[in-house]
Amino acid sequence: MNQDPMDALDEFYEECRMAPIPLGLLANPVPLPWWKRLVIPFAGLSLGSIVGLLVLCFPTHPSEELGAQAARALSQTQMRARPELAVTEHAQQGGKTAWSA
Amino acid sequence: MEISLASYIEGATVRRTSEEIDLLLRDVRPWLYRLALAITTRPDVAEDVAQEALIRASRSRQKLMAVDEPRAWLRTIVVRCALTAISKTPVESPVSQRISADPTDRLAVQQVLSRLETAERVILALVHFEGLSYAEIADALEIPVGTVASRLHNAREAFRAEWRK
Repeated sequence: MNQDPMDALDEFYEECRMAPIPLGLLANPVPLPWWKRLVIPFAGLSLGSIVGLLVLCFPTHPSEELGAQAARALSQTQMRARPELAVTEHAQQGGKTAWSA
Repeated sequence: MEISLASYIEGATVRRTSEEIDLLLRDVRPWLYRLALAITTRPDVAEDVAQEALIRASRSRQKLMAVDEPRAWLRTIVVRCALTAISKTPVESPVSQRISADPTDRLAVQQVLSRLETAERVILALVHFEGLSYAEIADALEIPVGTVASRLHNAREAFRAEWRK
């Protein structure tokens, strides 16, 4: 190493000044604050759409309860349409009807 | 919106907008990376340092909006990130990480720098790469100006001594 050390040091820093920038560093978006990252996915949506999405994501009733309610409603409709189903169901549950007693 | 880098680097005291900060953080990336490279001497570590500095700056964007000299403020962040990164990085042969294609003196400089104390590497980079005054270095490192002078003297002597080995 015959070069003067300070000259070599300056040349090294000159290399650093011209060093290529990693593509990953250039491509990455500027890091955003957390609140902005939360808001960006909803950019462009109307308020109604956002409320709709929130209702879908966080329903007021758990889905299981909704399913059970729907099943009960369907069952009652069927019973009204076909009373014999009610009798059969009642019998299946071990009950007795007035006319079977 | 075109905003020159100089307008927000040269000490404008007007509070910057969020869009201006986004532009600033985009435009300073090459400088952040090259400063980190001058301190760490390793491209992979320098990239991590630049990325970490960008994240920290972005988290503190309210401060960045109001600070008088964003470049000096960012420099301090890069130096701190570089110090942390160097302390966590094992010493390795820089052959695979060399900056230049020239395998002789440039590589030797990297090897010599990697053998110096971290504080010595930082001060050499701030003087020889950044071209800062003693007062600016004292601000960046939060040390007295007299300490800057003595540390720089010691760093140069250490570099010369390691160079001769």
